[in-house]
Amino acid sequence: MITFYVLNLDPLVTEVGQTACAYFQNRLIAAPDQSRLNVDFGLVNDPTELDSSIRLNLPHADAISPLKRGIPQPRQDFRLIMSRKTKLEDTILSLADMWIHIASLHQGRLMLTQKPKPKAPIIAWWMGKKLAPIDDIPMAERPWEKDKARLSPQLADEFITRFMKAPA
Amino acid sequence: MIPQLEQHITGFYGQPIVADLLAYVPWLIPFTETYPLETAILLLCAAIIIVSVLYNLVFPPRSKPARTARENPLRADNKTSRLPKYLQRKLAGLPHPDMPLYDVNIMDDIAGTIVEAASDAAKSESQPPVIDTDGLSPSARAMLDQLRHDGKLND
Repeated sequence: MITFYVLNLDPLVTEVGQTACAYFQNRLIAAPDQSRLNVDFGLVNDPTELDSSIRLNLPHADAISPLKRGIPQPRQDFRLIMSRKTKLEDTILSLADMWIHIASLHQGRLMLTQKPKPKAPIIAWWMGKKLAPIDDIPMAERPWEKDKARLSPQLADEFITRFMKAPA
Repeated sequence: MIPQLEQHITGFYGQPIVADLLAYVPWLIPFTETYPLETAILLLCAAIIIVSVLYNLVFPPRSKPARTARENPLRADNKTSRLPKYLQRKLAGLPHPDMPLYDVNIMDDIAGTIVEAASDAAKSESQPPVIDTDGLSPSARAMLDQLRHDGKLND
């Protein structure tokens, strides 16, 4: 289930954001898997209105996968807050970015683990294979970032094209 | 003024506190009696440089890309040449199937798949979806239409 929160957001942007979330979820998550997925998605107008302890987007530390007998399992619960962008198209693009990241983590393509020690590095797993501390992998080499770069503009464009048309 | 200053600085050796300090390192006393202050300062600088170089050799600082990535992942250096070989090999051999995309029927109640929460966190009761079954309200659709005509996104 997706729960969509907004804070001081323009009603039209809220409506577009909410529909975009639903569209990206349906596009990226298989229908049978959607019932297992729980996403609390916040979209705020001005992040300075939030408590300073709240981290925006989906930081690695908030996307750690649960472990089962030492093996990471796809994550099913997500809580994230995103700030709207100045331009609507950038907001839609950012929503697509977030959903691609969520889908990647939900499907277990990407998994992140961290040993319960202070300052332990966050380890990235890709397609079930342990890679390296995520901070050691350059952005351009991260497979999940490649997915994002490839799919995000496509999905955002698709959403605008499909939803601007009046219903038949 | 310069000779006065030199005299003042050279007189530094004669200060009681310096004498006290030198008492802890008696092997330096002959040195201070033999050489002028400039030589001592030059030797001190040389010693500091040598110690720093040795320290950096023994404890090399973390590589710049890794440090930058820790500070700000978005600014991580993208050059693969600096990657450790084991990581280069791992990344080169990674499977990368396309992320699956599923068909969406817009005429479905797409908004019904999500729940809009009240903006006030205290009123967190779930509310029924507010978007009509056709997808978007006419005004929101017009906004997207305008966005498309402005050519802001990929055409």
